[in-house]
Amino acid sequence: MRLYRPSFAHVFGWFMQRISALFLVIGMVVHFWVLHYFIEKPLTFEKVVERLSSPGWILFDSLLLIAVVYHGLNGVWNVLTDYNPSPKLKKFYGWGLFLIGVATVIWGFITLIPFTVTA
Amino acid sequence: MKLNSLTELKLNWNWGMVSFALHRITGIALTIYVFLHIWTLSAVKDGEAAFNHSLDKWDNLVGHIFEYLLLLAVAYHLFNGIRVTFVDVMRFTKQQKRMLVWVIVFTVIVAVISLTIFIPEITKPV
Repeated sequence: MRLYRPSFAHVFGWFMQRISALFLVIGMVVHFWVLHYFIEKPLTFEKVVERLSSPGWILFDSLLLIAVVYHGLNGVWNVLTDYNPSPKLKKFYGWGLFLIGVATVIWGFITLIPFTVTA
Repeated sequence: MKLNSLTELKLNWNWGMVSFALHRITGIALTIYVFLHIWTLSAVKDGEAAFNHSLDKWDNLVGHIFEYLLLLAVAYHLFNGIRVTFVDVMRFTKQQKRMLVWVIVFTVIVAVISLTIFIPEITKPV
């Protein structure tokens, strides 16, 4: 029997989607629990600064940002490639999503910094 | 006949197909939301007051309903994602339909528990 052998990049993409999902399952539950059920509403700048005074929370938020951007954009990539684009278009999608991802993570970090320096 | 996502859904009408479509729709919606989320929070660059004002804009009935729908999308995507992973790596293929029932049950539990927490207007007298 001839087996279909997907490329390393393909398997790696599938694997990383699962790894990021695993982190997001825990991360999203914690994120929602803390910000919607635990912290008394309304949420304010002061409350965010108080939480982000601990390095553990900064690390958590940073990892959540990276995982969610990767998982989301890799998911969009999976949807787009399901429609069998031409190699040229596929390359365009790949680079486009990669650049959007990098820019979004940088934007996220720039947003995170003001909460940590005031503390 | 030209096949698009909608005709495929019509031709292969079954619950697995519906769960697949819902996973994609919630996934794309949540990815778009991430940008909106960072955009809202990025108001912090103009200081504390600007940030509080930015969050305040969502503190109304429409904002609360939107957040509740967001929670439902996350809950469904999360539980169905766990189902997909189980089928992928643990050979749960035969149980995949029964597992969809659990996905719906867990999503409904989250929906019921969170309703008044996310939309407090419901319990307030008009």
